[in-house]
Amino acid sequence: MSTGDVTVKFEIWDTAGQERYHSLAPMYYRGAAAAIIVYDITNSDSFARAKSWVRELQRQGNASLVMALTGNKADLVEKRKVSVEEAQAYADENGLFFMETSAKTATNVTELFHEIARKLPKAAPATAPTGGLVLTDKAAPKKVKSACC
Amino acid sequence: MGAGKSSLVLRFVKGQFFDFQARLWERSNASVPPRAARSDNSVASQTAGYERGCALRPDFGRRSPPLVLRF
Repeated sequence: MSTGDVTVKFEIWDTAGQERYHSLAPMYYRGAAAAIIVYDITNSDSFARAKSWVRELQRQGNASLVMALTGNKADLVEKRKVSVEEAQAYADENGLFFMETSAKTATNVTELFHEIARKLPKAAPATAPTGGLVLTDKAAPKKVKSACC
Repeated sequence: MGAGKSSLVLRFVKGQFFDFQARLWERSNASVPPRAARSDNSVASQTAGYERGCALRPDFGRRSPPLVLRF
């Protein structure tokens, strides 16, 4: 996908949302540049679970992770349980970007990934390996032995 | 029913949409972990070729008699 003069290639890991696979989740988000947290706008439980994923990623994920909160099934307006305002307010508080999508009607799907691609290059310098360890042949400072053990 | 993560990916990558695909998937393959990349709607499990996906591999292979190794 191109954004301006930059081409972004996505490597998408589709996780399992079910609780029984929760322990596998860190394998998916470790080292990820972006995360899309999806909930179902017709299901307030799924919004609550999305919030707990946001908290987990804020705690465990990489610091420059681009996080997108996505309310899916936007075509089912008559069954809506989570309002746009509520989700937008939560996203603003937590520095996420928010979008409602519908995979069924293709609403905002490309836009979602496009927005992520657009946000990535800005975040990229921060994800580049920094610091590291400079090895020298100087002797390591002697450790002071403690009296115990 | 799920939130539609796989459907979003399928829509983005292939421009397709299938109703109730998670339900179909869960019924046919109840205890096999999810695929790392889901490129079609069949029951084939696609493993992660990346080293970090290595630990998942036995789970993909265990319940499936035919195994395709591609290099």
